[in-house]
Amino acid sequence: MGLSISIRLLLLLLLPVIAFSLYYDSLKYDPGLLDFKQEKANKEEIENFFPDKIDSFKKSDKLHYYLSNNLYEYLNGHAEYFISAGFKKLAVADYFKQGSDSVTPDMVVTIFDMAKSINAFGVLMEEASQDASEINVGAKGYISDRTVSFVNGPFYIKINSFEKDAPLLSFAREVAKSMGNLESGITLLDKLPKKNAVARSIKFHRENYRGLGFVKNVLEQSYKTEDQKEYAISVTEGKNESEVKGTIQKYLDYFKSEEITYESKKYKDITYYSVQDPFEGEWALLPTKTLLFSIYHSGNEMVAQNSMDEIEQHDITEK
Amino acid sequence: MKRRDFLKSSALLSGAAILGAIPKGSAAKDKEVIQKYTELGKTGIKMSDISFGCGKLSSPALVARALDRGINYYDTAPDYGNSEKVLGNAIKKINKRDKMYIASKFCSQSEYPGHLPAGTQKKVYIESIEASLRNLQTDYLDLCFVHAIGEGSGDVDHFSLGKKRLFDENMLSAAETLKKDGKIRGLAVSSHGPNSMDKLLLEAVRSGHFDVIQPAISFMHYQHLTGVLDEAKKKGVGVIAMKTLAGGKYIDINPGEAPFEQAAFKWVLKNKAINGLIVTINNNDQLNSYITASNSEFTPQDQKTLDKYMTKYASDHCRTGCGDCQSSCSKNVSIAAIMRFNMYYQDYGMEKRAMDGYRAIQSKADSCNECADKSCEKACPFGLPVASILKEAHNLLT
Repeated sequence: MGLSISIRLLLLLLLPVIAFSLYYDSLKYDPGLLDFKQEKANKEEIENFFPDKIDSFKKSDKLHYYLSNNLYEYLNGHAEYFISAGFKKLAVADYFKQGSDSVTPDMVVTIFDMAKSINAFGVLMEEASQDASEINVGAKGYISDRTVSFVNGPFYIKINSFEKDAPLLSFAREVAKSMGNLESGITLLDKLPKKNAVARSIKFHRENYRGLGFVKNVLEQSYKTEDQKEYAISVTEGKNESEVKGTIQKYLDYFKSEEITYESKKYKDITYYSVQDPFEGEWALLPTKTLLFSIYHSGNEMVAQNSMDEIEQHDITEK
Repeated sequence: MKRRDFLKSSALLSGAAILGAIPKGSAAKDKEVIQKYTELGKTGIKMSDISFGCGKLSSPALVARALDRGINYYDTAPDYGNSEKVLGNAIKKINKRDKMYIASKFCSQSEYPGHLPAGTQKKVYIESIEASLRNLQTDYLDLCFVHAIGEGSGDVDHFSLGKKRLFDENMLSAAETLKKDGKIRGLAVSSHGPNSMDKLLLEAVRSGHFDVIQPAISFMHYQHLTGVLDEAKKKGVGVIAMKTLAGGKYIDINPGEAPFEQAAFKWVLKNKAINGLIVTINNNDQLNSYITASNSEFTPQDQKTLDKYMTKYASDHCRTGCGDCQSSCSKNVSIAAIMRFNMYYQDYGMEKRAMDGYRAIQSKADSCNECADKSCEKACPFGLPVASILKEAHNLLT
């Protein structure tokens, strides 16, 4: 009865092969391992963003990396803000003047991977000081006394100097050049009308925009007419046309449930919803293919229509 | 009762403070509105039983909608991010300040927790309220809180420390001056524990200095406060409940079952010593949902929902204000405070405030990683796996 000794031996010899095969198979699907590989690749990518030399400054040999579990070591008191804004990782490089024997760096370049360009943009707008001037580096950037910051793709870059007359701008340009022109999701920013825009008034809302749970990832800018009348315009983007339609439907359901009056109107070739909102005042909801604009004009319909002209002119392909 | 019926009810209209609070041209005639306003101790405030915690406030329009639906009491603080400024924009836009009650706190304008400690100069207390008034675009606060009494960690006499904050002469003198100048109308104190919440609030009630107390109380943890609530009622001190959702964790509610939030609110409000509750409202859906609990009877279906929640979370949820574990840790880890910040992070979605709070703690949970002592778990009267929760909390909050 039973298996012959040779078959038993064969099965016994097969055991390590089976065990190795199972082990190997598990490696392929181990999410931790997959993450590790991905992490390494990203780390290398960031590493290449730092030029070895900028003007007369040389990069230190070692870069410092931070993830969300140790970001507080670098940004004590501010880490959670970055994490809640989508932070993935941070790389820091110190730059020293050539010939300097100082242990303190002259310039520090920090590159935050914020996962999405909209997150990076949100951080830039919150972080840049009010007296900073706009610069033409990356998708958007600002320079002040000792700091320059800009966004490029999903990265938020901040460069600090310890001396007043440091070449901040050339640092920013060189870093941007090393990074290359990364695709910017904040082309959304260009969709907002420029006329009457209040400087530095763009805000990014991740959720509960104007107290509505279904409106997320919104850019809003404040505007002021020549006669000092204030209004605001916001824009959000859908993944596709049907997502935008879905959001519009949610708005219409909300109007109905709250008995907020609205009507579909036409201005030139543009169709929009005119909303009489007891809590927001009068405003216009304007969908294009994948974008959704809101113009909070408080009854100044002409302001809304002028803005629509600008939106359409800029965004005609969206129609 | 729907809003249309409510408007028809002349008896209610004459009695309720809501009447003047409805902005012109308001919408949603069939929406639920606040049904009950209660005298808050002897303050003269008649607060809506469901009131607005502005911890995560981002939209002035949401305040306008809440006011329209009858919520007349708004609780904010200088260290709740932009909350005061957003509420200030709402106050200005709505222009019905006399129909709103606004409460803020003796805190600095820094990151949470900015509670002013005992011994702070009188002028700093006064300046903190003046800064709040500027943010809120108003001339006065209806209530000013000494916030989060009993917070703290380490092997110290927390009861004595708490008493020092409660009866800090500079603070009491500042409150008197602010009252005299018409900048605050009443003085209040709040506590989430974890140290001596009941004893400290009892001291506050008995002292005669405080017009209102605001304890953390929920269907999962309340017994320790019975004496305080009785005493407050006897002395005419107002009581506002907070942390009423016992963590507000996710629970599956089947058709026909009572919704969880309303059940939790109704449970708290059936206690006659409690004048009202505050809850963080982030969006219109929450507003619609929470308001339905106003003046509603607590039913057996509500109890079933709460039982279901307790069955699911009894061994996970740390009862805010308990603090029985505090002295058990040989490394002085601030167990109860960490548990509360863990709740802010995991259940309330208040990541920033949770991490700010955790950073301010001196004895963090990193030392739990190499600790084999289970004294903390033995000390927990609810049998929580304290050590593993703390380890997870440390990872989340750093």
